[in-house]
Amino acid sequence: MTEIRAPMSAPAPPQPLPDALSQPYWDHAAKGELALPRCQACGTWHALPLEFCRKCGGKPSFQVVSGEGEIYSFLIEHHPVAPGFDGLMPYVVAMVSPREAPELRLISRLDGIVPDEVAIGMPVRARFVDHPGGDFKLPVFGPA
Amino acid sequence: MKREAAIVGIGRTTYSRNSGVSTLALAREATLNALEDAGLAVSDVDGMSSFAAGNDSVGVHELAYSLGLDGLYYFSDTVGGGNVAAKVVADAVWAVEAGACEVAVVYRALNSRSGKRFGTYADPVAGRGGPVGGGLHVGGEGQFTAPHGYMVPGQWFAMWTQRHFQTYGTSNEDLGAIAVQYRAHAANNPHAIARAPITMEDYHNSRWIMQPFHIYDCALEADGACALVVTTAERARDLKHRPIKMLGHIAYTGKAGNNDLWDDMTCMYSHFVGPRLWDLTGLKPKDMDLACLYDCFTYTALATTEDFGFCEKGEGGRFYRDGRATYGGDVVVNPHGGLLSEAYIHGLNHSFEAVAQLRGDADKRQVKDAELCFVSAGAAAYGSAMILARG
Repeated sequence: MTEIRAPMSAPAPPQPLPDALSQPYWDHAAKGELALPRCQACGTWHALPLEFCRKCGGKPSFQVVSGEGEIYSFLIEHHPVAPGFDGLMPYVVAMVSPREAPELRLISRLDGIVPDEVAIGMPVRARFVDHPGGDFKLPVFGPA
Repeated sequence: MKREAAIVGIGRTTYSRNSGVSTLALAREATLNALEDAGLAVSDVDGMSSFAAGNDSVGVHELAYSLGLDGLYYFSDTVGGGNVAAKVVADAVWAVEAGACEVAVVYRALNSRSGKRFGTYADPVAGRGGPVGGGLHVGGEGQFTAPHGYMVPGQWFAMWTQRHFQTYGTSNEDLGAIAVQYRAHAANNPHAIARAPITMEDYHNSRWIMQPFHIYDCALEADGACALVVTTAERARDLKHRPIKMLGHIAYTGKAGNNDLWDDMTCMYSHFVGPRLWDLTGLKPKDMDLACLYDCFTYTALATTEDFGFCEKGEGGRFYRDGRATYGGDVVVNPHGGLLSEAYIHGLNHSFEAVAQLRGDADKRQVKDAELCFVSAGAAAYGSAMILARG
């Protein structure tokens, strides 16, 4: 149940900068929901919010999913690449295949697991944490 | 009759960890050295091609103006990383062949060690977001990843490497073989920043950066510049050096260049570029005397060595461990030490090395009778490769 707790003097972690297409993702996240873009015409899931479905040209919108998935790949970060993470190192970042759309890969820091125990294929589930330094709630995956 | 182009000059600065000068000064020095090498004057130049990532270099207009040129007939500032380091050379060759210009300079100048580094978090000003309220705010695709502490290229490569480990049983022993091999090559290159040999034990004992990468898996961020001069084959006959020709070049970009959407993370752009380049030139991997393979990370070299067909898919580690990538093996890969040990001049130093080798000017590291060199640039979704030949 680690959250990013940096001393007050430490820099905040990067904050999202939503735009018109992505705003619904963050609105859902604020309610504790993981939502992914899906074409309402053909049903194709998309990794990123798009103005047009790349399969049929239809209009994607966000659909709430279970937040369950499995680890597709991962890394263990030992080097300060982003501000606000010094107190967490080494931390794990994973690519997660969501259950409803396993062809997608969601990037998430992994929480509640020892880095050396992470493995591809491991089932995970998203939970929502207050992201330090702003008003955003962030989906963070951990062991299911 | 088709007009042909040739690479006739190469120049560079010292490669260092702190140049103490501007990218303009670096670009000027490398360009002037390349022109001197070719036996051409600044006033002969009427074309320039370069690339930069996030305003980390000096553009062709500024360099041309600084050198006293009043105009250019061919000018190209490509936005990109090492993905475009071979493409900028091909662009200049094609510009000369098309008659757009007579003498083109291709260069890359950067202070990527003392200035903005690729290995740490993105410059907030250069990103799509911006500094709001004093913090780092990231928009676009990065808004879904940066808040998780995922925001530098090495992290993408680490993810793909883990997939290769899973799929083919590849391990750090394989990556280490590449780091050790290139470092051994660099020992014979006085221009390389890192020349002290390393052993496999050194590799395994070195610190983790982003697991599965140790420090020796990562390119040597550096300050410096290098440049090439391209002109017509006809004009090349009267110049100082044996001309070097480009036999073919193929580029590919996939999935909007988004590296997290790449379908099969165990292969790269090279999976698409290789077959077409062999088909275009009628050549095969075994015909190559040497290869300068883009190696921003050991894994980049491993995956592309496989994709280009120098060995079977999944056998990249064994290829290096069995000594097939060095003198006396199948093909000498990165005799200068590559980006891992010579310097990370963003891949254009691979073309410099290719030309030096094909001319027979590579001194202690000379590949005997080198006539054909494979040069690649890029990683994952986006990159290109070309074959250079002794003229």
